Amino acid sequence: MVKLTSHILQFSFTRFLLSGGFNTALTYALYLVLLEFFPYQISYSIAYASGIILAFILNRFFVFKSHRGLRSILLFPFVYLIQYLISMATVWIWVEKLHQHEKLAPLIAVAITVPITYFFSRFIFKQKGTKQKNTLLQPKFLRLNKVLLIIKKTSPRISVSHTLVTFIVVLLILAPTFLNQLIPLHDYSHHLARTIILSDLENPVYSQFYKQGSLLLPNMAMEIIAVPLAHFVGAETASRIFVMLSLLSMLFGTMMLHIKGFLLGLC
Amino acid sequence: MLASAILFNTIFRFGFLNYIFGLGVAFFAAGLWLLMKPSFFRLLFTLLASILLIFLHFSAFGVFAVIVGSIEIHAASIRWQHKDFKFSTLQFLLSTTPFIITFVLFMLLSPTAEIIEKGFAYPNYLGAKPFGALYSILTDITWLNIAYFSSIATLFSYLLLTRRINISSSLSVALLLMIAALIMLPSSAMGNVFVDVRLGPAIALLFIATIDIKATDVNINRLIACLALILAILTSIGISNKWGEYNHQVSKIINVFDQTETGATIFSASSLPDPQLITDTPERRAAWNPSLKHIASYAVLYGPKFVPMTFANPQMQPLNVSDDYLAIKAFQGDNPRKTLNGIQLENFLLEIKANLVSGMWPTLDNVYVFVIGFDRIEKSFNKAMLGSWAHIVELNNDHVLIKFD
Repeated sequence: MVKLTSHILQFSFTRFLLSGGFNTALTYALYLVLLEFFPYQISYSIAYASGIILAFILNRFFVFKSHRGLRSILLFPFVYLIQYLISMATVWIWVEKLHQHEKLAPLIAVAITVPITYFFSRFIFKQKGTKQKNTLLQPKFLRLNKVLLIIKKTSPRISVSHTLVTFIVVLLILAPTFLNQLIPLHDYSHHLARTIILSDLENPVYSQFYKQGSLLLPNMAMEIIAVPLAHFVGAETASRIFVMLSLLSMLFGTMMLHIKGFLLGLC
Repeated sequence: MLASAILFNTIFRFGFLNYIFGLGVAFFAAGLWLLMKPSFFRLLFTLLASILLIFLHFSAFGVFAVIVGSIEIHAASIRWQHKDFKFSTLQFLLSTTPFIITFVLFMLLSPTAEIIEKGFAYPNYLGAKPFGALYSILTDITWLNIAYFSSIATLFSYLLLTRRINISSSLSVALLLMIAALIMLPSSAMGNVFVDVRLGPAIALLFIATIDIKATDVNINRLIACLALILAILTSIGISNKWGEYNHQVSKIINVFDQTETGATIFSASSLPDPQLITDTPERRAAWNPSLKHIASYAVLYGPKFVPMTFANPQMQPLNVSDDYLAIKAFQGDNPRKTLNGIQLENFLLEIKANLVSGMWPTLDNVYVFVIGFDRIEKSFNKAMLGSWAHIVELNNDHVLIKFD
């Protein structure tokens, strides 16, 4: 039995499925606990963010047992973004175009997104052509970032510290959006109102006053992300999540450009 | 991580969320672009990224084009030095094709192209651009701004003096081009305002991305990590407290909409000064504490209502007002009616009354006018003028809700 288990666990996809199940169970439990203290929107948001952090840790230490430094940290949230967009498209096609039962839609979406998420995660965690145990001092990785090279040479533990500091900074930056129901930005009320109306356009009152316009427009980031999301978590939470994504996008976008800019300019 | 100091900037506070999100994605896409070698695949990626970015925000597409274009110019200039003029010019021209294709598709297909010249204007004085760009990266908390700039300036000076700074040559070309774009762009175009100074945060973030530290010892990196953590803690505390106060204030005001019926139409007026980008006087700073100009749009939190002020422009948003109600939307516009004295508010009410009675508008069941900043004009407003055709539903210090009977 032990032999069989260890054989099965040799495959990273099996470990990926196991860690996914474990993550889902744990974040769901966390969601239920948080519900005792916070409204469902805040509970779901905290549980979702914790799920991403836990997924990162599980992928790093259990599934792939390797990582590609900052590249893994920067790209990982985007795996979830891609997963979300593909899920949304799948659910939409299943319900709206194929006219199948909507309760089955999430299961179909999971079946499609699991292998895709696996391959994306593998791409960002696994180093090319190596089964490395100690990734920190490998020449290939060192070429990626001259600054990190020196840090890692000096202290192999700094990578974990760096990851931890990044997560703490991210949580601190997002705290105001967790703690406040309304985001007091000048145009936010317009954005929120549009998200509410567009996600409920079949409502007789809204369909009396409003209609769907052209989608071939620029400046639609919030409509692309928050409106579909609103069907699952409500328009208010979806809009807050979009604000969080906007903050993270600036932070991680700058980090990405910084690292790659120096790869081009110096290495 | 020092970029976290720029996140709660004025452009973000204005709520230009599509731009802010698109800006981050543009930086990220430029980072991915840098990973690729010149190839057909990179051209395809540039085209797809450009199309995605133009959907997210037009300015984000511009930022991506400037970064990629400047790196291509930098690379081409190096190749020109090696007398590879013909080939490098051809390669440079080829690299611009995805942007040209994207722009042509936009001009051919998007309804927004119809208003590309709308509101095209430059500021009256040159100082507006540098001042605007400077204010565009500030938060609305003075002590937080001081903490950011003093700590980052001290750290930067120390690292510069001890020669621990590296500068990415390719990104510094992008930084220069971005500054040139700030100078050359109009202040408004395509119905958007602050087209030029919204590049302020982009320039600041690009500056942070352009510099790097020669980390010869771990202690410098630990120092920077500590600084990033301290700044993030200060930001978190400062912004959370401020937003908490604003939430309390806004929640108290918008509760008034709970008294309006499902399907009600709510017109909006404001007697408050509009929030400005440059907050160099106490009055201008007060206008941000919090900004209440568009508060009436929150009415839909209390059930389906029609707030004509909510942005819904066929050329700018995927949400449009139904044809029957376009006249009402046109009457209100995208902003609350400016009522700086009681007479202006009286006129606004009379105009609505006249339109309702004349049959110019479709029948509306429950019509309200919400006025924010009413305390400023209360003395000059003649409540008796409401007569029997309207009444005050709620009168508070800073707002009033009037219903047409």
